[in-house]
Amino acid sequence: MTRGQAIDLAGISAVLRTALDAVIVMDTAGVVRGWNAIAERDFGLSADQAIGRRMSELIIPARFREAHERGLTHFLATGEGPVIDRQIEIEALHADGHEVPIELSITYTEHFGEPVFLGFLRDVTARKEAERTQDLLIGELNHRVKNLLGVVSGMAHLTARKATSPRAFAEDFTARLAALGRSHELLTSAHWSHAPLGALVEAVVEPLGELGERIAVAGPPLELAPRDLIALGMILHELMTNAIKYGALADDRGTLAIGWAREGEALALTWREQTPNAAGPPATGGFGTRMIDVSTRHDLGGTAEWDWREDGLRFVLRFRPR
Amino acid sequence: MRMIEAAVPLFAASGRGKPPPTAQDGPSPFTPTVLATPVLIVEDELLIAWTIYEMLEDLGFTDLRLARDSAQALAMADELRPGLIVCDVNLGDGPDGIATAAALRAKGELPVLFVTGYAGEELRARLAGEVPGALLLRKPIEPAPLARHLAKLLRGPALN
Repeated sequence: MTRGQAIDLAGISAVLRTALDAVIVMDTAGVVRGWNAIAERDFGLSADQAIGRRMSELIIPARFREAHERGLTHFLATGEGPVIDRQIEIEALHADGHEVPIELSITYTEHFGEPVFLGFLRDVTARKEAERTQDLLIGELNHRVKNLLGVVSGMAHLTARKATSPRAFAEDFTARLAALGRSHELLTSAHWSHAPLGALVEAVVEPLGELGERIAVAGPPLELAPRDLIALGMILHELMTNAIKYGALADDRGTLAIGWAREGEALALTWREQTPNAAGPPATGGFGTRMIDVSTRHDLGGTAEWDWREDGLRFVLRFRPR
Repeated sequence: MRMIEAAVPLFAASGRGKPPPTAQDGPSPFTPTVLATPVLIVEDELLIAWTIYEMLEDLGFTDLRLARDSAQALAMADELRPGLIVCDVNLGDGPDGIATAAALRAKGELPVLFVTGYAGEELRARLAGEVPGALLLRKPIEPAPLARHLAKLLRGPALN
């Protein structure tokens, strides 16, 4: 068999030109006989540089070379080749030395005169990167979900301890979960970067319907980091629950003003309830009140000031936003 | 019971002491000496920290403190001289729980229980290398496994 002369160059060139993948032709001696424009682009070698050289020296990483030569010998002797006529994923070597992840399929054909191998190679770098990004995102999501489950489990545990009945537990727990959900929603729409405090307050007031008409909200535009926002979301929820159950919003004449302002690097949030029927401080600290105090310290590193006035509660929370 | 202002004033200020043990709680598996051990809980998520706090209270522990990050934990440990650390692994910004526990350990023999939502091989290897003898508990935390892990940790250095 004479090599190099018998190949139907016109026929094979047509294949090389029209293919959308890199196509490499190798003869049974392992020598490159064809190399299309996409192969030039993907592997950094021109057809002139590649044709006539051993395939194993060009795009096969050193660690696969021996297996490649063995496989070729085995196929020629037996007609069996584990990589023939199927698609595999493997790394190829670029001329500059870096490895390129490729999808490779090899067919063996005698249609072009001399028997040759046609290798179709698709650079899958972009897909691999997308897969890596997706793995990272899934990992991050897994962390967040696990953490959130821990938080929700704690919420259930703590709510259950104070609940007077299963119905009371279900109501309180669902409301707390909904509050947490609203903060998450807000942060998701801000891509888990800073989100506006005004929107958070709005999210606490909005579900109240008509009751909201007795609530005044005022404050400059201000954005909070996720952890601050989530803590403040829970604090506002507990304040609102108390106001509706025991405070100024428990009767039909009370009002509530929620305001915030910068004080240097700190943020002061004022919660002012006013009603002719002020009830004064609760006899024993309920879960909500303790939650507000503890979260102010632990989550925000701030201070909470409770002032039970004759006409209702004035609560001021101060902390340094992250 | 020593009080540290920076610790957990609010659990005490609420006027709520340790609830009296009830019949359904059963007897505590720990001796009075063990129950007097100062315990430092290091956990950035308040609701989780609080849950651990209350579960330890239910077991009969009386001297509990809460820190939200590494810096606060190290500062508190100087005053508290804890005999047990219950520590979250991921503490947000700053050094993580493993580094924090290792730093606390540097001051003396100290049983450590880590609590974490995600415990892969990599994490276990780090624990074994940096805080040998520490135990690991998966979140969400349940009372019975918490008690079992603590019993194992507090049985004495010989068994750690």
